[in-house]
Amino acid sequence: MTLPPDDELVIAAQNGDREAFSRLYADFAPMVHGILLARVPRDEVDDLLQDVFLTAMRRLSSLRDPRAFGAWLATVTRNRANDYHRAPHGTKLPEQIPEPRPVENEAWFVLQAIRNLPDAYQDTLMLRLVEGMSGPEISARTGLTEGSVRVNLHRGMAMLREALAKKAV
Amino acid sequence: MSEREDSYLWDKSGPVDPEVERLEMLLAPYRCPEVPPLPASPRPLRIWLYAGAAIAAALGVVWFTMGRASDNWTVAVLSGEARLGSRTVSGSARMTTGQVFETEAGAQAQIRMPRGRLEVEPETALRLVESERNTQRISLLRGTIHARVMAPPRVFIVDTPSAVATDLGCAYTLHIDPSGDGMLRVTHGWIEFEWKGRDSLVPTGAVAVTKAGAGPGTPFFEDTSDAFKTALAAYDFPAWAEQRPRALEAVLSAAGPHDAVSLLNLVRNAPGDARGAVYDRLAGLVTPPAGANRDAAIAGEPHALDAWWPAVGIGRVPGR
Repeated sequence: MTLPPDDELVIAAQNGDREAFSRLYADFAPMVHGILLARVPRDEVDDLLQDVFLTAMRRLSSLRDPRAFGAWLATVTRNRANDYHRAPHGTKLPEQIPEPRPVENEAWFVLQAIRNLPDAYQDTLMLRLVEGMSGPEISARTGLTEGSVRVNLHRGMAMLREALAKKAV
Repeated sequence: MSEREDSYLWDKSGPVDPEVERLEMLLAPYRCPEVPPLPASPRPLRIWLYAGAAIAAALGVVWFTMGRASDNWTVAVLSGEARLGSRTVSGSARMTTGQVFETEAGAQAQIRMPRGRLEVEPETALRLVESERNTQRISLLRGTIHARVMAPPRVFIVDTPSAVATDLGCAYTLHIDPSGDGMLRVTHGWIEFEWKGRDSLVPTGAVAVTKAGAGPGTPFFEDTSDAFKTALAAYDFPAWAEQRPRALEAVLSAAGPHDAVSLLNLVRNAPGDARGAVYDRLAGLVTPPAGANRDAAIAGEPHALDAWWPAVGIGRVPGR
């Protein structure tokens, strides 16, 4: 059976192929970035992104089904974000985010509005609106079914429109 | 709007939803900034075929951002005082090629680089030598760095006065004292530690000492026996070259199965007439893998030891 390309990369990376892991990093970094951006202060995202991939590299051999890499990596990412908030330095988001410059005000407010949505909608909208991924790409990367992604996008966007309308952004 | 009518939101097809498009443009600055570098070496054809479309799409972005690599080096002073070039840095600042970054006593800093991060200890000085998509190079003049690298093998390189550390893995600590002596400790992955043709492959959990004028020594695990460490130091850095044969005998005598990584490096680096004894000691401690070829190993053929690395339980060497 011919495996999809990501699966081959995962198997190669599990066998110690650093180029394969590097390509997985390139392919999945936007997903990890988007999930982190929904959960931790923007200034912390880059560092935590590297922590996530370092953890993933260390634990990759424990992943039995290479097809589940995306979903597994998303879980690793969410766990790292949770750990960040459990650690002593992890405080609530609004206190961590510096006062936005005027030109960033609107974008900052939209980000906050997305972060206030239910978890499933946060991730999907961050990946769609910030990372520029399409619904099928989000499904392929996160392991969610296309149906789930479509519902999350639709309902999340409806809630976001409502939240922005209340603030007249 | 129904779920089925959200075609632009779903896959960017159909009529543009003005609100979605506005939010996309508004939030674009928050997007993941990394641009994947082109692979350092050829990939298997099938993967290239699959990746072809994505690479073609990315090429425009890569082309557009060529030369940006050096813009992606940022120093952040976490505590204490540090200097970048001739000026004192507090907070963060861009680092450009040729600049030297120095931390004072008690200072801690971090350097964010394309596809990696360096934690910089107090009293450390380093220079950014090169920052291109396929080569990122610093010179560690003195002090200690902790590196985490996500780049492909052989992209991130650290020069020191007595060795060159080429990243084949992703996490390590490198210390260089003012005399040029130093120590490498790999916490994950592999490092190639080289100087004037003498090179060591240092895997996860191993350390390697380097000495000014001599280059890197043979890697070893820190929990090995004191007798083995002492013998290895005497072999790697003898006061007189004539002491080496006897020192090598002591190394082989003190070696246990846990020292197979050291012996593998010794087979690669020992003088030709000594390799046979090292190989035989290794084969006595670890069952030779299928396809192991003693004559090829002793002759120094490039891939003769490739099968041995997984056989001693540390996996395949990247890029081999």
